[in-house]
Amino acid sequence: MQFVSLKFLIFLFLTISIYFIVPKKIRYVWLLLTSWCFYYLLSGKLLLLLIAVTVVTYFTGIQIDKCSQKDKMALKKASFITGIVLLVIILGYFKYTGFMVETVRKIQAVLGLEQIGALAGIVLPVGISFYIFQAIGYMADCYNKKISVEKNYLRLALFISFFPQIMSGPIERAGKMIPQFMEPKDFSYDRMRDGLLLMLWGYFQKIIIADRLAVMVNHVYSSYENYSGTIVFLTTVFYTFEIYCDFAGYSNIAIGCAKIMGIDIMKNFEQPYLSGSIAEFWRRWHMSLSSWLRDYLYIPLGGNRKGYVRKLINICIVFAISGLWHGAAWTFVIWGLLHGMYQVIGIVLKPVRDAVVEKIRIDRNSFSHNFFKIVVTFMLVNIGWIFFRATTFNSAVYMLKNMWKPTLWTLFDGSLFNLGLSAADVRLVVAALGLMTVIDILNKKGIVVRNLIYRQSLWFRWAIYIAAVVFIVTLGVWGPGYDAASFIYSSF
Amino acid sequence: MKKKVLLAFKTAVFLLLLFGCLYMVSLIVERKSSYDKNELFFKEAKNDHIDAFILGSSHVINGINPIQLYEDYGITAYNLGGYGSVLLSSYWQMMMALDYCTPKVVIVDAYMLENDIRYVDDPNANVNSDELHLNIDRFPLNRTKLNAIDDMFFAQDKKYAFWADFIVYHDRWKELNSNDFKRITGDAEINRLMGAVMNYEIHSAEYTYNDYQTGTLPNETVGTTYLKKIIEECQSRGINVVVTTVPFLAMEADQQASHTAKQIAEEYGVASVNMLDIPGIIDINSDMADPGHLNILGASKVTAFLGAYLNNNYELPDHRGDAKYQLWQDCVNEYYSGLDRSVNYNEDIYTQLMMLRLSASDKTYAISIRGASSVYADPTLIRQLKSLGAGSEFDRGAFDKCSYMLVVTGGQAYEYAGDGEEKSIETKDGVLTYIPVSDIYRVLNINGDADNNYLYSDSQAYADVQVLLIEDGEVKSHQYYTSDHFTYEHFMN
Repeated sequence: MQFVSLKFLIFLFLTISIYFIVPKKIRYVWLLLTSWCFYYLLSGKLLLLLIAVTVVTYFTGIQIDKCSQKDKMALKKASFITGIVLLVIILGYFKYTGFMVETVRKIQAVLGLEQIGALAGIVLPVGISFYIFQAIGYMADCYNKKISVEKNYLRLALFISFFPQIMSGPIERAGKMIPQFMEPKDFSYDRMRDGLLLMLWGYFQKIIIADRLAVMVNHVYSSYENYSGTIVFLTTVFYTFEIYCDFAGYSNIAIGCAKIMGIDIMKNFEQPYLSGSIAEFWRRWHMSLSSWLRDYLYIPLGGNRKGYVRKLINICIVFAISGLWHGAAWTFVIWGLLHGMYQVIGIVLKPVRDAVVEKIRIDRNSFSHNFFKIVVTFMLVNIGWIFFRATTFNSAVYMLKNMWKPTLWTLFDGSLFNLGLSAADVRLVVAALGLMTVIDILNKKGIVVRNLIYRQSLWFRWAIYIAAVVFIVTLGVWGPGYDAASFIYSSF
Repeated sequence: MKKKVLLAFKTAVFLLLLFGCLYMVSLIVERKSSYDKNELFFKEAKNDHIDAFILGSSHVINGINPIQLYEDYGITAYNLGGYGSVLLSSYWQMMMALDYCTPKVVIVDAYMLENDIRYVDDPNANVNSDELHLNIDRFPLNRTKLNAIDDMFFAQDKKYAFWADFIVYHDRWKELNSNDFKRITGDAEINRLMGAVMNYEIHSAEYTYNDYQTGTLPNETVGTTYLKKIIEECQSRGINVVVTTVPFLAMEADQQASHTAKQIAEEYGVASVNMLDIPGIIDINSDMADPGHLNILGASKVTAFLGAYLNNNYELPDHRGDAKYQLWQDCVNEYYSGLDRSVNYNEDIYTQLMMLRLSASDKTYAISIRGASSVYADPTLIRQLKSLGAGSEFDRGAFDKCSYMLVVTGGQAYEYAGDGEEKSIETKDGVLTYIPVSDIYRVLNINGDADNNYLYSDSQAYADVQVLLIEDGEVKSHQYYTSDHFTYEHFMN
């Protein structure tokens, strides 16, 4: 059951309707039941794995709580490490076994050794990287006494299994979520309206933009040798927008669903492609993962407290792990390391950059300077996404090599209409990208379009809402005969 | 409390507006084929104006013309045939239609009776389940339609698109035209042949119909089961049934199926008209668009045969002249005036000759072939010319590759081959004077007007075939066809 389906909308309607009917005290039980039901419909028997993770997390928390006296610190640490190891083993088995076996086989092949047997496919449970990171975060917070241990198994299980987040996050913190489950809010018309509009925007990003761009991107990547120049360049840019719209679209739907129920989930994106540096990009892109990696990996590694070189090494480690978290392939590791290197080079060259800016008297607040920084950052991110999207290292290198040759006529000679989408679809997606960029710019300036709409008269608001729904439902990519891409991040 | 009531009211109004808009958009984007085909059914069923249902596959869509039945006998029939419809889908088509009116007779074509695939979405089914949209979409969702979808489809996800076709058609936003928007105002184009679609092509192959002397099908099939269900349902409602097999180039299994259909009809005591076993209804080489489907010429013959059968065997009321049935008369007028117009200006020479055959028996026309023309080797054209009246002179012209002239007036044919002396032909539209001087240069004057030679112009001197329609001493239309390996370039005056 994908977010982009009538089934999901019916499921959501029923879940929310009953949620506000059942007594507040047991609403979390209803949410847990529906969350497990949702996951079962998504992944079938792999629901048992999710439950197993919640059980491991619960007992680890209980054990940490039992050993909180000073004389049992070693046992507490052992319990914490055991819990983490168990979860990492689960994640490793399902996500990385195939990758490791393949890597070993390749090394053996290079060395001329007899290869170990290939592994039969292990099914990757939907959202495993997200819910295991969420569970690890909970254990770490308990261990560090940032939160008190949750004694109610069902409430903890809901925190890990909450259906809007289960597929692709945002990776929330127990300290924020569990209190909201304990004290559910009353129904609020304004929150419902806000949540629905957020969902609508998410669907716009997903089925109007991302799923259309996916067709063109997949078309070129599947036979990349046939393309060069501007088409390749545009394909990389299209993927940059596809992954943003896909993931931000998912996040907005998830946050919107929860908001209707009175549950606030953290933002995951804040106009990342308007960032002026890679560091800023990571403060705006997949914010829940970035902050998770900062809090539970970068800082425990020493962060910037152990000297300049160690700081740079820590950054590289965090980004390599971030890459590997996204997918079990070397291209993801390269993508992660590339971002790590961007940051390291940025830090190392900062004095030089500052000196140049001073020397040629650039006004740091000028539009041109900020625009230049945004364009450079966008291109660096764009290059990184090539490794993220490419299925092989060779295809990534091909794209990278061939994207710079200017063949501008391909913009005008109809070549764009031969990439799997009709001319009308291409025009629509370009217009939609324009609209999204304007909205992102407004948001960055602190103008929330939803609030602008709320200030309008009733009939005008309704006209906007109805036009938006009709537009998305009619022009969106969905229904039989079209293989709508599932959310990219749900496979991580 | 008051605030809550107001909120609930506002929400209800908003949802009403939202779903109203979505409904309108769904009408705009829907593929109009089902609306086009079935809209008049609903209009006429509501007035209880339909005395006969015609069920079956594309064979009946192309083969039985309700407008001709009305024109000839005043019978009001609706063609509910569907492309690729097997008996299973015909049964449900009938059931859905019966929710809106009860006819006096159901004519069911038994083509694909041998089909033994239980569900239409079975990958082994020799039908495209998507074609069922034509039959189903226009019918409002009700219990019968739900049962039909459930019974015809195995895969649950295939059913959704038939419950609500917007799921499929929303993607049509990029191909919308004015007709799509007219759906809302109710003046979109619709089928005016009461569900039939005439085929204006002719196949180019030379077929021989082979009677395989077969018996019946060896086993019960899904097709036979559903044919029986159709008969049983009709009998339970007091509706007459005629089991037919519309003619086509039937293979052995098809002939077995037609015999089985007859046997089933006999078992149930209902009528059976197996046109495969009745010789002379159609000419398989001139009356078919392809081996399976009749063209308009074949359809007119089959419809005439069926009309006579119905008229002789059932007391179906003759509604001609009844003011309540003015719509039917309007459709008849449109159809026949369309046929009248279509004896002219057909880009396709085969269609042109077919329309002359169908609708110009009371007219005067001339067909001239230049000498040394390659069309003498075109078997399709030769067949058509012979059906218009070409005979021994044509054979001589073809043998000698000389010029040829065929004049048909009031059903009487005159023909001349080769160069020679002046010929004078008295027609009901004037006296034609024909002088074949050479392969290229021929003269045709009307009523002694020697200043106008209608058969020669410098620009069209090498046209292979000229077709002239003559009316009241004047050439009403003049068409030139130049052949390039039997692909004809069309030019008209």
